[in-house]
Amino acid sequence: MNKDIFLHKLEELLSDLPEAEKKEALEYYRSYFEDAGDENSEKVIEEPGSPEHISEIIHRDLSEGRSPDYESFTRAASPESKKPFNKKLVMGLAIGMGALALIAAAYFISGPGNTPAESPSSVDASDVEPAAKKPTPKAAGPKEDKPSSTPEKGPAADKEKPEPKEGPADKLKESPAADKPKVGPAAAK
Amino acid sequence: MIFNTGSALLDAVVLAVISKEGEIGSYGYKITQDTMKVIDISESTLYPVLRRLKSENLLGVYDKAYDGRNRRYYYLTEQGYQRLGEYSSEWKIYSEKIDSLLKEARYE
Repeated sequence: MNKDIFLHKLEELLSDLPEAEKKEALEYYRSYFEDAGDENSEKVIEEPGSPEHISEIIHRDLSEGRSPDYESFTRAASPESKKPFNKKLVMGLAIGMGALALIAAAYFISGPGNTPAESPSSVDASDVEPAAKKPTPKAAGPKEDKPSSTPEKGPAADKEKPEPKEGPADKLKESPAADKPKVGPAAAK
Repeated sequence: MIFNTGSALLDAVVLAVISKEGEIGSYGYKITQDTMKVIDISESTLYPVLRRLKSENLLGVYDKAYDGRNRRYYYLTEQGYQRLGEYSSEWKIYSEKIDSLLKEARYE
């Protein structure tokens, strides 16, 4: 495999991703090969299954928000990409069952206790339905939203500047770097 | 290496490697080489890590012209420095415990 085949393969594997996501990955590797020079590029390219491995991790991150473990970095890729789907399914089921339980509970509370004369059925219905319905819209897409691709260029750093320090500042004492707020790329541009 | 590198430790190493370059930051090839000096990762798979750290706003990026092309530089954001500080103090606690246990252990 040479550089071009590597890049082509990666492009194919990432073809279902948003354009910006794909472009960024390809540019990273193009640039990497330039920096590495031909001889070192060979090493990268000869790693078995690299484009597949790269693509698998990116896909997993996009669907889960985070890779569970990076053991896969030193070993062969593990076929765990089905996880997010199962998670969604389980969550949907749980919420659905919760809704059913709510309906049942509402029915028992308002149903047998009251005589039909005292509470017209329309009252029952309005009591029951909103409670039972609430969870369902959530079930439709609990973890759907993918992280959108972040803005590309540097100036984001300006935004970070005014943020006050907070949280675990006491923890940071030992890390020398953590004290200085950095304004990223401005100096380098 | 016989010890696996968990994702938190890999994140910590990558953040630390980039932090050493200050506000200019560092680029893919150099970050990879520097990381490989410390832990055993396969050379091509650092991109997903950088991508994720960037999407978590721990890293920022900018492009700089080099040799007639663009090179993308990664630098630590405020949040990135904060996270690195947390990793650093967690690691200190963890490694000291393991150290002292291994020192006290009997090897016979």
